[in-house]
Amino acid sequence: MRPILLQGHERSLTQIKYNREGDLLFSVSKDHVVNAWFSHNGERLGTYEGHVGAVWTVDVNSSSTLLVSGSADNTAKLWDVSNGKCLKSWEFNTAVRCVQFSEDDKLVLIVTEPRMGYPATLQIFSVENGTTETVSSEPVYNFHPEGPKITVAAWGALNRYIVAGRENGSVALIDPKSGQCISTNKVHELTLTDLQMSADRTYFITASKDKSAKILETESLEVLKTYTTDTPLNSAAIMPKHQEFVVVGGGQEAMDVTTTSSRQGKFECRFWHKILEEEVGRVRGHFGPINTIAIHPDGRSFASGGEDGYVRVHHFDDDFFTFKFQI
Amino acid sequence: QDMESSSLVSSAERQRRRTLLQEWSDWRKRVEADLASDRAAAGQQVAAAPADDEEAEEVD
Repeated sequence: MRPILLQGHERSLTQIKYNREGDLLFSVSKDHVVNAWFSHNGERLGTYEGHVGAVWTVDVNSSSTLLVSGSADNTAKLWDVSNGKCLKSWEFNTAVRCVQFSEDDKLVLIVTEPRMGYPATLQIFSVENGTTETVSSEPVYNFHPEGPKITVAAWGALNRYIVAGRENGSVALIDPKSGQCISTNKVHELTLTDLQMSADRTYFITASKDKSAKILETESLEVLKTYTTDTPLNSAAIMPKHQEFVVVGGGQEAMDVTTTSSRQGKFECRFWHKILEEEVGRVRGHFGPINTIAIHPDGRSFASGGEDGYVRVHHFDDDFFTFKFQI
Repeated sequence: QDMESSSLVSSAERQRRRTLLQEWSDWRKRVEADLASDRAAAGQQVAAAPADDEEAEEVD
């Protein structure tokens, strides 16, 4: 499994995301830049420049026409994927931590941080097809969620719920029309660092600084599976095809990295059998903590973004697809 | 890429694995059926509006 190294960022990666077809990979970084890459060969397709702070979060709509990014510069920006033009810049009082298109691409969820007296907000904007006339300047909904800070959030199926992960390790099911918290479950001991939905959004995986990842059913927030590791986790992803695997990654905190070798830092992508909860393999390569993991929609490759500033794209060898547990 | 060797697995362990896989499969079938039903209902609601309008026009 020879990796392709994508070298286009000058600082650590914060999130990577494949488009629906998987031919494109988008990456955001603390270097203020959003990059688009061809996933099969690692060639850079383009750069989206305009943010003046670390970019924390990115998402692309299902037709790969619109991109949304959120930054520490207190803005979220909507981009035309094809030409890099910024179609809209929404300004907030604090940093944007999480953005995501709804399942039907008509809405964008934006989560902002609580800071300097400003409460956290969970706002929903209408984007429709991205034309100036259809992109709302003001949020359709603007909530001030109570409780611990929201660190990650995602839409559920049919836009019925928003699932939010919090700083205290809890997850909450939120009604996107009222902002009311329908239910909550404290599933981790420490901060949730990632939350990725399954393809049909009926379940999702969480990653946490408490060194574990978990799979939860969306509607009930019931914990179905737990993957316990020996390192704080920053990201977790579900393999959509070919193998019933999940991939998790993390590593020692950045402040301690200089005193730690890559082996001791545990900077590996770890593969677990999703259903049997057994670790099946590791992929090394990063020189710092793994901050973000994404799996290609066809399940034939995956990518990881690290504190070391690199994105590594791995295409699986044939034996990966024929591997079977003895049952 | 250190895939586990699965040649030395006890029968008890294999049974445990079979049970877990079956439980997951049963749960997935139930959840997927529920979601398909919900999606169909949502689709019908969208499609129902023009059909209802046409009926209303015919009655008028």
